[in-house]
Amino acid sequence: MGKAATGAVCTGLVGLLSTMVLSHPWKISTVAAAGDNAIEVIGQHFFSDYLLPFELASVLLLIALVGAIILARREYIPDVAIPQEDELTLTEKHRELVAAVSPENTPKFFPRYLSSFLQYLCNLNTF
Amino acid sequence: MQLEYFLILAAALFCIGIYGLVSSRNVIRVLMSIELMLNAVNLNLMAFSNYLDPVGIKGQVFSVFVITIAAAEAAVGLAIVLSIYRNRDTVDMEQFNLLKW
Repeated sequence: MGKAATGAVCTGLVGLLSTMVLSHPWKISTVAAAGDNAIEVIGQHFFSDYLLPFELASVLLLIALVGAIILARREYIPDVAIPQEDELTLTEKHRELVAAVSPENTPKFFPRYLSSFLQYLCNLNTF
Repeated sequence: MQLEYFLILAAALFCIGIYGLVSSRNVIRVLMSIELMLNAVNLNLMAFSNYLDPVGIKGQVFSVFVITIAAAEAAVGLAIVLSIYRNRDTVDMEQFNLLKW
């Protein structure tokens, strides 16, 4: 029902506009059309008397770009990235535990010759 | 006589755009209908500037501005559609009661 009424209104509008266009006496200019020289004329218009709207159009395009990026940006971190962070923290903790046993981080009261002796034992085991 | 053909074609295109804008429920089809109406306006501007003002063709300059506005509108409209689809999981026009009070 609604679509039929809309279609009837639109076809009526087309008929009205067509009769108006066909009945109006247009004052068609006798000068030849610009043709391929139209590009130069458009460029001269852009940089002389339509310079301010040209610049405003560039600013409008920039604003639309920024606005589209802000509107379409994802505001939450996707679920795929969360297990990667867990893996990274796990490996970080594991590496710190290994580094705590290394001879640089040994306590002061730990005898120096004992650590060297342990390293000597480890070298014996490797051989 | 060719000017009337251009104007009738532009009028038909504009009315097809109005019909799609009123009757369609998908947001993408609404955006496409708006683009159709803007292109009908561009066709009108080109026809008038070519047949009534062939020396200083200002209608073509205005059609370039209309294309710029259409590009900005399409970008912002599609971004709004994307964010609405993420929030509501639909692009149906009947489901958008965000601005209703």
